[in-house]
Amino acid sequence: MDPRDLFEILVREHADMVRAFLLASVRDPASADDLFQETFLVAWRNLHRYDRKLPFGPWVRGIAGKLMLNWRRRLGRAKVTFCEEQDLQLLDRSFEQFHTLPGDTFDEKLDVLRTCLSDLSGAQREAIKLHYEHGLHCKEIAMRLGIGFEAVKKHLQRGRAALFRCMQGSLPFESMATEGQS
Amino acid sequence: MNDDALEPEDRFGAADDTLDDGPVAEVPPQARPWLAQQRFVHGLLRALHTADAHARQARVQTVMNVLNARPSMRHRFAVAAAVFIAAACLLYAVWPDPSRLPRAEAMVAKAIAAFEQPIDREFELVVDVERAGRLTSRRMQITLRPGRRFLVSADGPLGKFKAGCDGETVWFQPAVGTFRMDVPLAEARRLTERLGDVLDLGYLDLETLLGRLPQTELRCIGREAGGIRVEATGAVQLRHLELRSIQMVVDDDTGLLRSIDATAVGEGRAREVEAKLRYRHVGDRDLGEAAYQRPW
Repeated sequence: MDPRDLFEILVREHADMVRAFLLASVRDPASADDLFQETFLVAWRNLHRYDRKLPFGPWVRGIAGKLMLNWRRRLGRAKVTFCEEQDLQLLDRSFEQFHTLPGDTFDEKLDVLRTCLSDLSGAQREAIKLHYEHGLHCKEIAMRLGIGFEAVKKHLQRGRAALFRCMQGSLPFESMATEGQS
Repeated sequence: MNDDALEPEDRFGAADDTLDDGPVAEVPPQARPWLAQQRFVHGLLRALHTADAHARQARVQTVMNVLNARPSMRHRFAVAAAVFIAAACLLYAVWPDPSRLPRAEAMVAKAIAAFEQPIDREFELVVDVERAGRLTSRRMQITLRPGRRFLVSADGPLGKFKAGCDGETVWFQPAVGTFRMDVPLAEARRLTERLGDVLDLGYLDLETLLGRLPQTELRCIGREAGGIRVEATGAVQLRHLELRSIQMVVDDDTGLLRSIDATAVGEGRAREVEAKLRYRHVGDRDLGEAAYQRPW
């Protein structure tokens, strides 16, 4: 089999995971797409350095993380949210644990999140739906729901924390949720 | 009230910059795990709502298209970079020893003076590679201005790409946005490294050619319309090919190179390959320095 064909299989297998990893820290989708492509092109160029005894996911996320840090240094906060090496390590750990979820594909693993979403409380679910599904900014959600901007942020943050805890129930997420939050 | 009694959202919410564009001055160390958790779910939720099969297929296909087109892109940029280098140093490469050609020293002095005039010189470079009866042609436009300014543009399978330098920054704008980048001139090597072995033209490595010209014999073979035709003879082994002939026309008045015609042959992937390079000065313009600035 041609190395490019093999690589295409790896790209298909890890595309959604890498994109989610980038979207966790990169603000605008166009930049995330640029970094997505760059990540796999760097991976292709450096494929000879990849230890095939180890999983491909962490290796390619490592490349994505380095590119993100470079972008952030070059382009500043407008493109990439605050993150440093240790933030990316924490993020990477969560993705590693997410990988242990049942399901062959990333999309199948997301079913746990879909189930957890349906279990969210009304206000949190509404805020998350408006923000992530309809793409509304917090200010627009505040106007739509007739509540304050800070209240919307709290709904979203609490909703995300609840989703994380819910997924923990299905996953060996270990101590990440409680670490540093005594 | 003790901070520890507060919910994480109340304690660290201000450090979360995933929900608005405002700057976050500092993230306290104890907030990092909570922030990582927030970002993890944030990333999953964003991916969840943009994870349709069609978009996924398009992203993968784009990566593979760029990956497959990359050698061509590299070569096109390589040609651009090599030509820039050629334009900058060709005179010195051609006349490493002024005594080898009559009046060469005076000619070089004239060329340097001409090259320092604040005008924009336009060139065209065509590289034809014929392999097993199949001809591939690459054509690009190059504009040079004193002060280490250059512009290069060419058409390729993915559309038009441009590269340039305003004397301080080297930039590269491909047809697709992925590799758009710029670096300080002093670090231009970084840009070229990122695009691979940038001076490798594959079949016709112009930099190698120029670097090895001093090993060849240069002789004046005639005059034509205000210029001198110079021929380099002797075998020059390029990366893949052997240089068969190279002829250049030097302008009498300016000492600048008007044209280069080079032919090289060799075996490429077990098939005979013939490569021809044509480099022409097509005219002068007055674009001004602003034309060389990074377009974004």
